[in-house]
Amino acid sequence: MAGTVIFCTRCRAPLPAGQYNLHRMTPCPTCGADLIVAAFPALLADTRTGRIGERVIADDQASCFYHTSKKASVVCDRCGRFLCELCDIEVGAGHLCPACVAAGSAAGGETELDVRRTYYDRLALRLAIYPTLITPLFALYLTARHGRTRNEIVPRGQGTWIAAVTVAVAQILGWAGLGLYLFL
Amino acid sequence: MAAEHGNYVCLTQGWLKSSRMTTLWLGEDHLLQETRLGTSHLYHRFYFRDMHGLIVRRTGTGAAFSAILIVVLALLVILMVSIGEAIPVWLGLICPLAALLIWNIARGPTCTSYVQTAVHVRHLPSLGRVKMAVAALQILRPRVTEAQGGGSPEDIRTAAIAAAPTLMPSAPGGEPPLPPPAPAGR
Repeated sequence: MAGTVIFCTRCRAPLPAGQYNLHRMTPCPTCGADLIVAAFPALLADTRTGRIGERVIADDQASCFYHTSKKASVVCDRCGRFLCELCDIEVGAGHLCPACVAAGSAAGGETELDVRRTYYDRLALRLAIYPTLITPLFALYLTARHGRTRNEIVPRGQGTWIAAVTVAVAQILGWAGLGLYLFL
Repeated sequence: MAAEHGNYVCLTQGWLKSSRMTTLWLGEDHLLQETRLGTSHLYHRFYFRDMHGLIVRRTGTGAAFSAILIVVLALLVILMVSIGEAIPVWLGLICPLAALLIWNIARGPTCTSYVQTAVHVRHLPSLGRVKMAVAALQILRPRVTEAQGGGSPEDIRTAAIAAAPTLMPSAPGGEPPLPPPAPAGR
């Protein structure tokens, strides 16, 4: 059985297996740091067995789109290309080819691949708070443009949008009132 | 502790650390770490099938913070008693600090938590208190075990002890050991 060990996060020394899953603080034998070490079954799995892709034996066997000498084992859920074990990328419960992963990641359409999202409600609130005449207008524009867009990975409330609109409107009214007071 | 939002369950509430707010979300087959950076949110996924371990290390940050607060409070009380005037002003300073001290003590000792996979060790800033980390671990463990198809924690420990001579980095005569992964994200 091959595997790895768990390391102390302070001294980076390997921790003894007897310290795993004790459900209480135990000191690191090397540096004495108090640790709770939770080990999961994958720790003991054979991590040195990589996927290599099976070779095509007969001419009529389906081969991978990217590696014609490798046997196809799965179909890309998006483009339908045949893929070998090397090219198969599991995304959630599905399978994608490297090209579709790259395309999906660039377009931001595949939620599983997203690593960054911009939330315009926070930008609108910042613009609304900024004390100028122009920025609250931008905040209202952002609200009108993106207020109904639900692009969040983790669902969020509407509170920031409401706060942005409230502050922006209040600031515009304030500027208008100041203008009327000064010039009339 | 857990609040449900669509496909994700909020595992921890974020806490401010170096101007970054992070939150852990529990998905069907992974843990999602959300980091706020201004108007953008960064997402990092830890799939249950890839997790090798979770390491929680107690730190002295919370205790040091409490000690500083106690010293400051003691100084303020001494000054208030010795001066003996404007008591409401002094109480206005002392009460918020005392509330902060109680809040800090109630949250329990601080810690740093890391998740270890086959290829990296990643800091989880949102698990910054031992209580919170232990509660999160109790929620995580059955899901990770189910995803990896393993046995009980005791079985894993027993198997790890039995396999200890063959485990890296002490495998005699085997492949050269991998260097320990450097903790990332911190």
